[in-house]
Amino acid sequence: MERDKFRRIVIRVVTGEASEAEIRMLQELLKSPGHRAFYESVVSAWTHVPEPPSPPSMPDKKKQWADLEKRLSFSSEKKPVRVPDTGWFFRWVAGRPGIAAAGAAIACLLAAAVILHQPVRDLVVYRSVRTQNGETKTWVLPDGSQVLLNHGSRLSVPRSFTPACREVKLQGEAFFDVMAAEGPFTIQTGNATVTVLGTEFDVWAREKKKRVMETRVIVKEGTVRLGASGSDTADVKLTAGLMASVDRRLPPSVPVPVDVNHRLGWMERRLVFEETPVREAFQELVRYYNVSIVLKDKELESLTITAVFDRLGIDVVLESICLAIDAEYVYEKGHYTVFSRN
Amino acid sequence: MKLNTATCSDAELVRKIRSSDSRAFQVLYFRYHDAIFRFLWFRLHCRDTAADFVQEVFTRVWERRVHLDPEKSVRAYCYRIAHNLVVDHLKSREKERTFVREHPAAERTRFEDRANLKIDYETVMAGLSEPVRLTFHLNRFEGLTYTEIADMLGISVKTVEYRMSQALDRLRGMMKQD
Repeated sequence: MERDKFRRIVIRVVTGEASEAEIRMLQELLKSPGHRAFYESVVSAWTHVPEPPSPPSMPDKKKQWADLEKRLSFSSEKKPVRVPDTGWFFRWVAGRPGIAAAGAAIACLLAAAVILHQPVRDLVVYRSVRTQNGETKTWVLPDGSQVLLNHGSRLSVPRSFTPACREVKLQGEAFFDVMAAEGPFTIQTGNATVTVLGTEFDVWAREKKKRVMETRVIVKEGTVRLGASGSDTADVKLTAGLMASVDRRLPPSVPVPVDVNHRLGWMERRLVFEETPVREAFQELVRYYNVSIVLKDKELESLTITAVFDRLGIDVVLESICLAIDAEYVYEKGHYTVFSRN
Repeated sequence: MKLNTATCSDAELVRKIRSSDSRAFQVLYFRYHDAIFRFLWFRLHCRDTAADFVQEVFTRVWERRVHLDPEKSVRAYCYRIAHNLVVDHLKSREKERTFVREHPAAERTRFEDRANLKIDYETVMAGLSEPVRLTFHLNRFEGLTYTEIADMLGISVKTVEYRMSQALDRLRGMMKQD
């Protein structure tokens, strides 16, 4: 019976179903080598099961949506009413041209009054959407472009954002699916500017160390321009499948080809490390799992790791990283501490 | 503010869709289109049918929007509709085959599709019963939780748990042989 209970917990932990309590319980149980062997074999089975076949190509989502929109004809449906108080007024005026002019004047006055009475918070130039550590969000901009925000990130959208003038600010990481429109779409990070027309790409803009900003761009479809902020150095042009970065305010790096779907594993909740410095990898874990991790030994920081973790629990991930960099970890009072084995 | 329609959790989206907010519905569509398509393709190995069925899934979600429950996973609901479409489709195909000979072109595409499958996945999964395979696939590759799978297939969470342990036992056995 004990054995069944243990196996049940192992499977719940590995498949991501376990509660905090179950994870702690498992940590205790794993002190026995017999238990450990079983646990490791389950982790290995879970990690190494071959990927199922996947479709050779995806249908064009935007086109599909346009078809569906036609099929369901939302226009005849009741649409969400955006300006409930003035709607009847304009309809009423529209049917009576004689008073339309007078009506327009009154409407202007009303609008002015409304603006004057706006509460202060509505006068703020940017509106932002934020994700905490451990959460991601999808956001649709007024021009129909979609943004998927990764953990611990912030996107600011000015109130003046229109399809003709599209500029946003990003701190953190986000995947953009930009709708084509008349004007370009611009993203300002702390140290770089990314300019696009209509395309799909990922922007990663975080501090590598204190005050050392880096911006990385990976393009999935279309063309993107990347340049350092406030510098005259030439922009680089990135096409599908390429990655480039801006370190501080230095000129952008030469674009290199990357496996886009692999690199953008975060969109499917995978953690992907590709020769990632250990320090950066742990920062990512902190954001992903919303935990606190202390790296005790400085010499570990210079190591890099390459790995993919597909929706595994934090303990499984830490365990494997520690194994790779010859380190150990303990969990105490809400913190994970990682230290070198030597 | 209209932007607020667009962020937000599935539960919030469902509440808006229930009151016929087509923009919230669009967000849901873009959020799950790819996943549902991939799942349908995986079950049918036919791109056109999978693409048609995705549209059917979302059409049904919209048509039955008043019955959506914000407390329950809308993702599992989409998968359930997709799963039912697949089951019905395969059943009707089965019937067709007993009366009418398959069109040779149709036969050929299916054969080609099969040849493209990764043999690895098939061999590993071969020893598992269909319900166990499906349950494991939904958890491991579609990222559905036990509760979502239980909701979707109309079974208990206990059964999901049992199937997962069966699948993992089997996989552990396979991995040892390598």
